[in-house]
Amino acid sequence: MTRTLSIFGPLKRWLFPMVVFVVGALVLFVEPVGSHIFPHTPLHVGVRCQNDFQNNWADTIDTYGMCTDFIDTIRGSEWVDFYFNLHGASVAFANGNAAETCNPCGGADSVDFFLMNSHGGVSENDSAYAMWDFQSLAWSSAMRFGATGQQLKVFATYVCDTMQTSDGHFWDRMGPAFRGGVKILLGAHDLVYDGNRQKGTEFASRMQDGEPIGQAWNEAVWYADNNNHPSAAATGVDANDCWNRLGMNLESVQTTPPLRDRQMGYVCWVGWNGD
Amino acid sequence: MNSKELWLATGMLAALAVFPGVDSVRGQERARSNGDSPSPIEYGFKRPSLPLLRRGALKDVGSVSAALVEKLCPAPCRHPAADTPGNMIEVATESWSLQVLGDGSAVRFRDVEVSKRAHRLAKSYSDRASAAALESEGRKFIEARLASVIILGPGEELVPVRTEYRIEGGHNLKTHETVRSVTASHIVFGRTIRGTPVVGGGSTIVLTFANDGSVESFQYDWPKYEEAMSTPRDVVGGQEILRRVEKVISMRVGIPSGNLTERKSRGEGAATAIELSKNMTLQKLECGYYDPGYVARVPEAAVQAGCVYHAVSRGEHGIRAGFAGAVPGAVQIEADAGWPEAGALRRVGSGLEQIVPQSSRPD
Repeated sequence: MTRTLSIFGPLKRWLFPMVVFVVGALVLFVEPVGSHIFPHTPLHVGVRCQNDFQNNWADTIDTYGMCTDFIDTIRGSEWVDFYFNLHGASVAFANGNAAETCNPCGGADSVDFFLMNSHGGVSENDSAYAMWDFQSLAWSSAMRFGATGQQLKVFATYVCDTMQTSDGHFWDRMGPAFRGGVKILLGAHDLVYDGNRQKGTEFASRMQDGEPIGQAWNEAVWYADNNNHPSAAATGVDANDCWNRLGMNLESVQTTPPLRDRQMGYVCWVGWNGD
Repeated sequence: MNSKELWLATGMLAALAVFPGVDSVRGQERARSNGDSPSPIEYGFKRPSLPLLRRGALKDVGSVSAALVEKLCPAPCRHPAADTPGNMIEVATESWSLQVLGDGSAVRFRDVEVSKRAHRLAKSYSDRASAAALESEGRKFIEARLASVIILGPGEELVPVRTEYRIEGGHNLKTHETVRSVTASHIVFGRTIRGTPVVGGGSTIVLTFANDGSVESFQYDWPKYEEAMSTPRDVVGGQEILRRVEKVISMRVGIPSGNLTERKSRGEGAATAIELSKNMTLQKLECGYYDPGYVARVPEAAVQAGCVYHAVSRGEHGIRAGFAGAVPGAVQIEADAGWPEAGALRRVGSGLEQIVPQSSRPD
């Protein structure tokens, strides 16, 4: 009797902590998918947003509201790897820079899905994204997403103008980023306005409902402010393939093979409020 | 004309003299606009005072859901599944989904089948549905399917606000041919209350039509309003509205408002945009009862007079950012925890402070 107790005594002492650990592990580390969310493999998400800029080189805007609301919702189904500002961040978008694939550095190619909120603009051959540092910009000509690291699949930017198509130079500007294999770009073909933070929640929840990622973006951004000019773009081997790929959701964006360099034959886009 | 009306008229005329870009014919209320042309700067109120309103739901969330399902999926309807994720009721079949939010005043509907075929129904831009046709189809749909939930109170009208088009484009990387087409159209309706519009996103109905006339989706925010108190609140004139816009933008960007004093009409894009400073242009200003809608507002706050602004800053290397928000339009500003500009302007006099959104900052 005493011998039996001596055998099971240590086990009993371990049993409770082990059960707590296993249950805890199931809760914390198994797929973070809520009950109403359509079944899919969770993606790794990175978010970088910036309200204010060094020495006021660009005007202070409200970006954190949208970013916070997006994170609070999307973390119900995906892994949110980081939420960083844009201090010293241009290297995180630069092809070939070690920071691009560095997850602790907030690199774009260190996650599957990247969201940025800042100022933006275009020149004939480049789209520019404002970083915090004085007059620092990340340029699209230096981008090549989806070729290395985690192989970025979706690059979403709540910034003005960078997906402008009306002047016929969209591919000149965004082609370098696409050539790495990134599957969907989300942004604006003209102005987007700050405030109306609920677009972050709506964008995330629409994707979690299984809506195509591009549609979720265009609808959430436009409904938040009818004066916004959202746009979504994808590539394909031809027109039909492109339109099919623009319908990718959180699951199919992971299973659809990337197209790189000469594999692409077509680029397509869709947006509200003109193009 | 009583003294208040005389004062208002004088103020408006003075404002128009200061801001010559503002069109006097269009200068007082939100007018119909569409995606074809930029909207004018519109500011001011038709009336010298407006009552505070209390916002409420027309029906409870369950009744709204049942009424809509009956119209959207008449018998024999294929077993819609109902769920209650978060703060909503969601009813869905394989082909459509309906979400009724919160107190029942906000609804989203999406028809997946129509959405899937919209691309195949693409038309050239010149063949797009006209604003008049969209308004007509929209009114028919509202009457046929939404009449039990879109109810107008005394003195209220359903008015068209804008039309928009979903544009698809494609570029062949080998031939360099580019094509563009329209695949869907939005018609947005709003509400006026005794001639004064509700601005800010509340009281809107958005219908999305595919090119075959099918409704791809609709979304509305449609509460009922009741006067919260019997004494109307005086509203401010056009110059004061612009001063308030200037003030809140200066607070937002962290620049003293004295640096934002030079106002000029600017002929860039919208012919009536107003230059607030060297790099900041006020593009649009719409005044009325300010209601940002169920999702964005604090439930207990009263609906008060306000003006929605859209401004653009242009910085180094041509980068731009859009500012949007609203300033209170009444002389006496009511507390509203969900309206940062109202809070900031109520505190004016205690010194300049930057408006900081209530959200977590990144690492």
